[in-house]
Amino acid sequence: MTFLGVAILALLAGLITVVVNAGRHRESLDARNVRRVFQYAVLYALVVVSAIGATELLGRLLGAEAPAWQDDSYALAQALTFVLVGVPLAALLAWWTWRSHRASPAETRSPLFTTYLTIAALTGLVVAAAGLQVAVFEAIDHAEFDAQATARFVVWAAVWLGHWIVARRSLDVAAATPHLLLGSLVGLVLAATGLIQLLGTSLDLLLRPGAVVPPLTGLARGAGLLTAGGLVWIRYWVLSASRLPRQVLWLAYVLLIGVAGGLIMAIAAVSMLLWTILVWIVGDRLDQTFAQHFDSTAMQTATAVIGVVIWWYHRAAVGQSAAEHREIRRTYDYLVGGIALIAAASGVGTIIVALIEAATPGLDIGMPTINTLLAALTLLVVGTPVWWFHWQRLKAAVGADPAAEVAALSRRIYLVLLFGVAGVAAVVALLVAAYAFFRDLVDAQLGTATLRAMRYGLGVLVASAAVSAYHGAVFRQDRQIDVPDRPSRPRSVVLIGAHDPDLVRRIRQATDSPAELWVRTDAAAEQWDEESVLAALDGYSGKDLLVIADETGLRVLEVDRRR
Amino acid sequence: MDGGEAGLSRVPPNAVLGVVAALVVVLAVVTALLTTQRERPELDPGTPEGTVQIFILAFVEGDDDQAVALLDPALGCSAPLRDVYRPSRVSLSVVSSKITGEEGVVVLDVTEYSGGLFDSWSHREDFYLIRADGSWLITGNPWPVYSCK
Repeated sequence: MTFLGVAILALLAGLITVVVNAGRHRESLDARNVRRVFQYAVLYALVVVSAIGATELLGRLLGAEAPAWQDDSYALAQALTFVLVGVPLAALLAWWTWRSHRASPAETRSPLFTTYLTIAALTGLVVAAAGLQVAVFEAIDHAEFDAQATARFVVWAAVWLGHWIVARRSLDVAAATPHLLLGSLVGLVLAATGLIQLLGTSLDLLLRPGAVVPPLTGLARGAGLLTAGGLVWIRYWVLSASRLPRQVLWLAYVLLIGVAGGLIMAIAAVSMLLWTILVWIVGDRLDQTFAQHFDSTAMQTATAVIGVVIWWYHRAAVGQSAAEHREIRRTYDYLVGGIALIAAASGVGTIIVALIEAATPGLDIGMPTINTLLAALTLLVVGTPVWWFHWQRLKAAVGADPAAEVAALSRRIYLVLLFGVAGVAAVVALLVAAYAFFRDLVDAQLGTATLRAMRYGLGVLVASAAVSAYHGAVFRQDRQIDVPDRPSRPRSVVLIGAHDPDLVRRIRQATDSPAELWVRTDAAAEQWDEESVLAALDGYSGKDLLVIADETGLRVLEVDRRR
Repeated sequence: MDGGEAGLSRVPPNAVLGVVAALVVVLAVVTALLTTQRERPELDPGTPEGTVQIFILAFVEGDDDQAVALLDPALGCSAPLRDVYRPSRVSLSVVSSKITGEEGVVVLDVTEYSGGLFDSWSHREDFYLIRADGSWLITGNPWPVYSCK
């Protein structure tokens, strides 16, 4: 049933890719693409089935024993079937695919082939990493050789390696980027979790000897995760993805996953840590002993340290590009400032929650109001300085070059996103608070308990209002700054000539006009020259244009797409 | 409208930020004062709402003998209470409490905290009570024990 599910999912993913791709590139939904969907879905299912069977057989060869609940005969018969039927079929289909690729380069360029390679390689990677993690864990924690985990690692690592080699030989940089970045993400998550586990358990063992039982388990789990994640991360990020061109997807990964992810980890962990300390010093300890109260401190410290390292590392990676691109610097400041602002705004909302709890009668067991107030102050203390630092830097940039900064896409997106998020949060909070109010109104039991039931909704509402009020003032101030009109631009551009997907992206960026490329098949087209294309487009404000590249150079034709 | 918008436009962002910051500081100080003066409420076992809160307090803190003593014997509960959901951190407020003859109904607003402050959820619970020998006993299917049978 699992394989059926995998096959159906693969088919659906393939069909979605075909439809989306056809829409994006205005390709016809032809029979070749539908054939490719089935071809790669079946190949993927066969590879998975074969690997499962091979894992079972290799595990038995290495000495693995079936668990007591498993029907041993059934498992062996299934494994033999998967290997003896699945492997030849997979090999046959792979051979036919290889031949079709040799006969037609269009097959290799197909997005479905890229999708297949990406999914198959990542499947092998994730399962192999999980197998390696368990094998290392068992070796350290129980000093045992886990045959099944080792078999899983060996077989799935082979699946990964095969697809990795094919991907390296077949895919160009643009097509390989999602694969490399997703693999980097897998490695980063596993390695970071392993590092946190290792560091946290080590600190726990040093600071609270005797409290961690059994002492080796946490270290073994961390070592397993770090080994698997570290290898994946080095292969995918250090040796590959970190050297990719600084395109949109690469920057999105580094900024959103590396910088923002690391910062969120660090801010959350530091907040928890600070809160725990404040509660111990000035809050309600709830009769806990020191060891009980600080039982999560080691893990929180480790999370904060690793979060800061991840943030710092990716910030440095962006920094090299940021020195060249002002927009990247800007985006980084808005992203980090935005995350810190959310933490500070949560602090404001939590003060309202604490205020209502303190002002209304109620019985708090295990979460006294003083601890809620300390949580609010912690969020403010952690979030406000980070936001202030980045926001001051952005304000200085606006002061130096108001027109350019106010017109910057990242600033406009930041302000719109803030208003959007604050607006959605406010609407949801209003609904929640209003529901609590009307519920008690209908039941004729309005009272202080009603206000207490509304406290979270009101907290979010007030925090959203505070964020909106300040950024509303910023938005209005921005509108008073004169922004020079944009240069004239065409309404749309169709380029006809040699295949060059990067050119389309650059023309879209430079002109802010929708652009697409039709590849010439009647003659060998000249390579595009971006400067010449941009020069040729100049002066055609509001026009639909066809730009044809042939042996005489560039020809620009005005057309009307609407007729 | 134009005048209003023009007026708004003249408000510098730093002024708005200053007002927001001042309000946050004032709210935090007021909350701190209220919090430090706040004491655990006196719970009267002679009232339905007091009985219900004493029951939950005893149950959450693991005093099953006291919790079971406040339950109707017809529920079949005995200390220690096993195989029951036992929240560790809750916040209670009385929404309403009504007495009709020998019976009482208490509605509580319950907020449970799981991982921390931001991992909480609230729900309403009705408690039905009967008077026995001058005190109140909880009957029906009381949260979070429900039934022992």
